[in-house]
Amino acid sequence: MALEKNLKIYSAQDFPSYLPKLNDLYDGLFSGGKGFRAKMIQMMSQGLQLPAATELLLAQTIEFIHNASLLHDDLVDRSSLRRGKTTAWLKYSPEYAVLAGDYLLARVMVNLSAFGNIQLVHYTAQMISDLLEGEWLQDSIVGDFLVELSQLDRVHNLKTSSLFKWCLRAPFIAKNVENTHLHSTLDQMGTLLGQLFQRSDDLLDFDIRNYEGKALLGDLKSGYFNSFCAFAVKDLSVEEKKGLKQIQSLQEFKIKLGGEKIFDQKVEEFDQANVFLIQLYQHHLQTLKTLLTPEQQLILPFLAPLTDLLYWRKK
Amino acid sequence: MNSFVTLSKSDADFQRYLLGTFSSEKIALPVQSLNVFKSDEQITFQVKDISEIPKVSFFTKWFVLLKVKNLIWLLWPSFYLISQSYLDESMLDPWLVVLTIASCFFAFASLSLRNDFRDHITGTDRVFSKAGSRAIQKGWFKAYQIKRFSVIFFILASVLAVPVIFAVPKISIYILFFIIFSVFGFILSTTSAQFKNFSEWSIFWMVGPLFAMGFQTILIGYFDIESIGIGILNGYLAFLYIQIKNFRDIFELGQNQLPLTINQLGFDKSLFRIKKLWFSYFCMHFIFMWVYFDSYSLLLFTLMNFAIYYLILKKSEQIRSPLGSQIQLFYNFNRYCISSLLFLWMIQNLLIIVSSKFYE
Repeated sequence: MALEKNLKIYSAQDFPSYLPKLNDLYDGLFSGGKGFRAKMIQMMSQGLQLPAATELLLAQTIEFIHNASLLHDDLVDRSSLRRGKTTAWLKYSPEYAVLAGDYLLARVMVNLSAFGNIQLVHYTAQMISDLLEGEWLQDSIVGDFLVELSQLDRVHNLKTSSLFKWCLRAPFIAKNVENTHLHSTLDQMGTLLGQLFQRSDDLLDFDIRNYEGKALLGDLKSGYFNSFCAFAVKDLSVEEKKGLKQIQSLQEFKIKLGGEKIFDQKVEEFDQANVFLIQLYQHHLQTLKTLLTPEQQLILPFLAPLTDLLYWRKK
Repeated sequence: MNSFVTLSKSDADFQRYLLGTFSSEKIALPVQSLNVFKSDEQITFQVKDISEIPKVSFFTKWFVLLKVKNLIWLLWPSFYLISQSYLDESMLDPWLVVLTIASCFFAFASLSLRNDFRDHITGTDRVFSKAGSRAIQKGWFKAYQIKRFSVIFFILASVLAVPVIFAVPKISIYILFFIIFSVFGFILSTTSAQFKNFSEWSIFWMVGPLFAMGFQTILIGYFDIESIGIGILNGYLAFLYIQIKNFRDIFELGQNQLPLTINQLGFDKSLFRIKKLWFSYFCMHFIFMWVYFDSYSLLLFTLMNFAIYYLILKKSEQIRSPLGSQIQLFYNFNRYCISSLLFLWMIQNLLIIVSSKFYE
């Protein structure tokens, strides 16, 4: 797929060569990423027969916004590694990282507004706003060892699901499809995909389906209870939960939880809770089928296996 | 495999699923909502057989449904005024008092159930995960049943109130004002920014001065300044409690842009306002104790109020987020403080009664 390589330039004004470090920073940041959201856009756009230029614009938009959030997020979290490389704020400077993130968001608005679909501009701006609200809220609950899964879900709805919703709805908006029921259904599917993706990502921290070998307990060590952690420890006492702050290894976590068997049981229960969300997603998929024209139904084979991909991490 | 149904407000079956009248064997539990409070609201229901709902005892269901713990707002001023009339031996007719308490209980239950029903129909209980009794969400009752219970309790409250009205006709004016505040207070609570103050303060009048003055009129034939005082304290505490509850829900309130003061002020100013409300409550409490109680009680409650206020200030410093556990813990702590305050006051009143009888 050539799309990911070309995402950097949609308009001739993107990334001027005379800006020191900006091109280098972007190239360093983008290489190594899966570009999953851009792929979602590509599949949706091709299913809807959008022109290649529109597909590129949408893919660039989602990747620019996602990467802007990573640039800012790494600085907020003081993370040292991103995709196995030194994070931008450490490699260059915090100022450059902030400016680069701002630049990506600015290019999104320039290119989208030039495209001329005001509804798309509005929806994208709303998505960025939700994303930032989510980041803000997430930061405010770092160190909160009594946080509940339902509270984290609200953060994830803003921070993670907003991007997935955009990936599903933006191609329809770009094609000027205004069916309210269709957009509501896509919105709810996006919410579920975002939650499932986030919950699966949070499981990686505990070495569950961690096929890419992501570092373990990153969230917990930085004082953040992710969704699986909040779910698994919900029956522990306040003191026991506070004691989790000192945990340095997965083995220690399992012991605190009551042993390997209890840990496995919690994973199973967590999976079971998410199977409910997957079934809900399949229900919306059936509704969606009735709302699409025969030509638009080309997107269905792409949407059907997304939960397997995002939650169960099946290739 | 779970069974789901998604319906929009414009669908013919929307109301039937929401009310629970679509089937006598099945129940529809809302699991996902979109565009709540808007004309294009969409709800996804999980449809279950009634037999699949976990069994809960009759007592638990009704205890939760009637929000029995909230009865404290009526019980405390009633108890205080009854004990005063008992000490003064000024009670006119104990049976009228029993009828009044029973009528108030049913009126309170009716209002509370009506509120749950309205929350379910408008979507409030889908937005606020802690709103109401959650009896409908748990599948214990269907919405249409809650509405029926509300009507039955209203009729019971009215029937029991008739002899009281005949015996003490001037009580009608209090009942009239109570109805005005309850109806308009609830209607305007989510619809009108212009009348938000009226709506938010309606609880103050309903369980505050109006209730205390009316209740004392039934007890002894007239009301005095002390009953107004206890009414103000009770109403103010209930108002404060609602503000703390709204503060706990500030995230949901903000996201749905509901016209409430908490929303208008924002996080920091609302928290500061709660501290100010507590401070003014303690000042009023001090004045009341100073006027009507002995110096020992005044000292005891003043020290206790200082301690509570200090702890509330400390707790408020720990809240960093509108979403995390701290805001819930702050709410819980405030609730415990209110309950403890009223409970200790009740104990103190009992001690006064016992000691006065002992010295006789």
